[in-house]
Amino acid sequence: MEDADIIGLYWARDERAIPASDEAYGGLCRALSRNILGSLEDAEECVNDTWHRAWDAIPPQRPRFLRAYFAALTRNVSLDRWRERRAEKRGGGLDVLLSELEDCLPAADGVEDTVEARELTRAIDRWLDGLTAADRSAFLRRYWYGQRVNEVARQDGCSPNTMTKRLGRLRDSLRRALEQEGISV
Amino acid sequence: MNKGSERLFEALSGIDPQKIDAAAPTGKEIIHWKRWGALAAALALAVGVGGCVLLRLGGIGFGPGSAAGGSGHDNGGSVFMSYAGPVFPLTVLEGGEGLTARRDIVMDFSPWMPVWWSNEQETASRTELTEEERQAVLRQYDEWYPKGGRFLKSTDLLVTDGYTLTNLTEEDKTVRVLYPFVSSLLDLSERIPSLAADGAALNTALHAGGYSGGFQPVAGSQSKGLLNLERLNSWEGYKTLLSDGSYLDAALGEFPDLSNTPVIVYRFTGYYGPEPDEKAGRPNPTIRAGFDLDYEKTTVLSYGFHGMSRDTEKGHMIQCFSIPQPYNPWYGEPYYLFVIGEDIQNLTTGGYVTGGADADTEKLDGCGVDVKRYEMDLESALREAVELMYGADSRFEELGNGAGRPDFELYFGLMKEFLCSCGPLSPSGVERYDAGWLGEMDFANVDRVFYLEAQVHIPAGGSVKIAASMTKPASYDFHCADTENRNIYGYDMVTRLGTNLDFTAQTAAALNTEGIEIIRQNYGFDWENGVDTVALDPEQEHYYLEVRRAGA
Repeated sequence: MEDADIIGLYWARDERAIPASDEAYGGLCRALSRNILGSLEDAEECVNDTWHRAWDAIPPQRPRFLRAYFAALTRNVSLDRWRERRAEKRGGGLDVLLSELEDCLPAADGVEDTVEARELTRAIDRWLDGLTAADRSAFLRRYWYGQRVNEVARQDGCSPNTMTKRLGRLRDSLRRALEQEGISV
Repeated sequence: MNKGSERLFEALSGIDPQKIDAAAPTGKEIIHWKRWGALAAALALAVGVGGCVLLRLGGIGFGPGSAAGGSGHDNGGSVFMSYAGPVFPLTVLEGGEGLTARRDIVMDFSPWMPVWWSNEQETASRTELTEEERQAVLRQYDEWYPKGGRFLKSTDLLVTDGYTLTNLTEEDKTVRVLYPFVSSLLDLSERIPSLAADGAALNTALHAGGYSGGFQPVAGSQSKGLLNLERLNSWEGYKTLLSDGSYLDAALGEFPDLSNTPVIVYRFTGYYGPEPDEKAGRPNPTIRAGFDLDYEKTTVLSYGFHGMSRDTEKGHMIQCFSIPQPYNPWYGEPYYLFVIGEDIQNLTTGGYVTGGADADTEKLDGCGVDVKRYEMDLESALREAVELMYGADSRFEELGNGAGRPDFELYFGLMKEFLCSCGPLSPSGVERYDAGWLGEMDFANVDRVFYLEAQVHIPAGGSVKIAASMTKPASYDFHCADTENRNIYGYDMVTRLGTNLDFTAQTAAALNTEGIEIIRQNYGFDWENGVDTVALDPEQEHYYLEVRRAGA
């Protein structure tokens, strides 16, 4: 089913929208959630939450990129779940990603206040704009979709070792970009 | 775990959905990767390349070494986790008799100062765009920065390393000067200094030394295998590297010549196979090449392959690659196995559903590849593959549409040198490169000392002013490590290391230091009281300056 048809089902308040969404994007969303939480069971619940949130939001929303829209919902739901689990000292797959992302943190010099999340997002967006398509894709697959390095490597036709080095350079590049813009995180 | 990285992860959620959509994993590409099961014994093979090894080695030390950075500043400042290397002095290759030199180094902190960057400037810098696209960018930036721009700053330093060379003799002199600097091949376009004499740019030739660091076992691992890089993290490391002059001699020498080394080439072209389809049970259609070999008598290098298994007891090896599809940019490119020493036996090829090299990986029909075997010399064979690597090395694109691409012969030469010094062609090759994949060699991303060579004419009794201008990155500890050096950036220089010039005086000056606080130093600067130029003691080999933004 095409994206427009799925959105049409949501707008028509037709409950077939949910199985249609799951059919088209359930695998992607479950993998994304599992990457963050490290648990299939939790991922399943998060994806169900995703469809419910989409049901509540469409209409009035009409996502232009439905796949990205569902993925972003899943990511946010999973992040919330990860925080709950962390409070229960159970952690999850996100720990590794966050540990890697620490390389990207600019040195906080204490002069500026921490920027608003929206400003940080814009700065990352601008930095992503300056990357080659291949590097942008590799970075997002690792740090947006939470894929394992070897998966990212294979999709890019290189070895895990090469990809690890490349991601390291990208993290360093992001850190420098944020520093250059005077952004504290 | 740092709260900042959590914020960063969350901030990523809000980026442009188009980018998220474009990067979405398709699922059908997901594979189950397996590297080789057991690391082989060292490939100390008699493969006929021994003669090439001796020409340019000298920088690489193998085995456990000093601990990685963090702190420690009893003598000569901190040992930083990320060390940018010192600023070296100019030296003279020949014709230096009867010369004296004065050195005046200026460290300009202006990159630290926040600079207003208007949205119009941002737009004008996007020269690759059409006017219409530029206007769209401007509208976007006006929305992002309603104040009309933003402040930019960095922790780089602008260094002008100035020399006055005086000819005390009664004859005019033409001297060959060398200016050393630390960089990797990848960072070269950002790190390379510009050399000028009396204000006029000099024509220069570039020489590259070997990898300046070494290798070490994985921290905490029982294995002694040298699997990790061990970069230099202090000026003393460079002192060891450069003191006896052999590193420079090697840098000025020839790259290894492999033209007398025979090689058997297996060229894989015309590959085909079905598209990946996880639901159909073929998540990653792969071509596998399996063959027998005597690991004691044969070394295998490869280009393009990215999965393997090796069984040294049974004398078997599998190499494999995902079958490129017409929509892949590298579709149609040949893949290579280079066999050095005894030929491989019983080569078979076939299609498999994934890149796993396990015995039970399911075969896949409808796949194929043409394999051509021929013999030639290793120099020519590698050149063909490295040309492909050079063209496809997207890391250079990060430096600006390929403008930062080094000369191919330098790229190729450093690759050969790496193979012969620590890769599979070396009798002391490290485990890190056991797979023999050319794409795995770290020759482009490791630091080394480069030398800019220029000729300078100095009239009898006269002087010439030479200036090396460069952007020097800071040394620092990783923010997440939360060491006492958090927010502190270090810069250092050496006064005598590697130079044969007879210095009459050396001075150092710092500019644009407002809002920058000195944490540690041995220069004698006192910016608050106006002491921003100091005379250096020629007996002091190393000077360091560690600073942070005031209030950080």
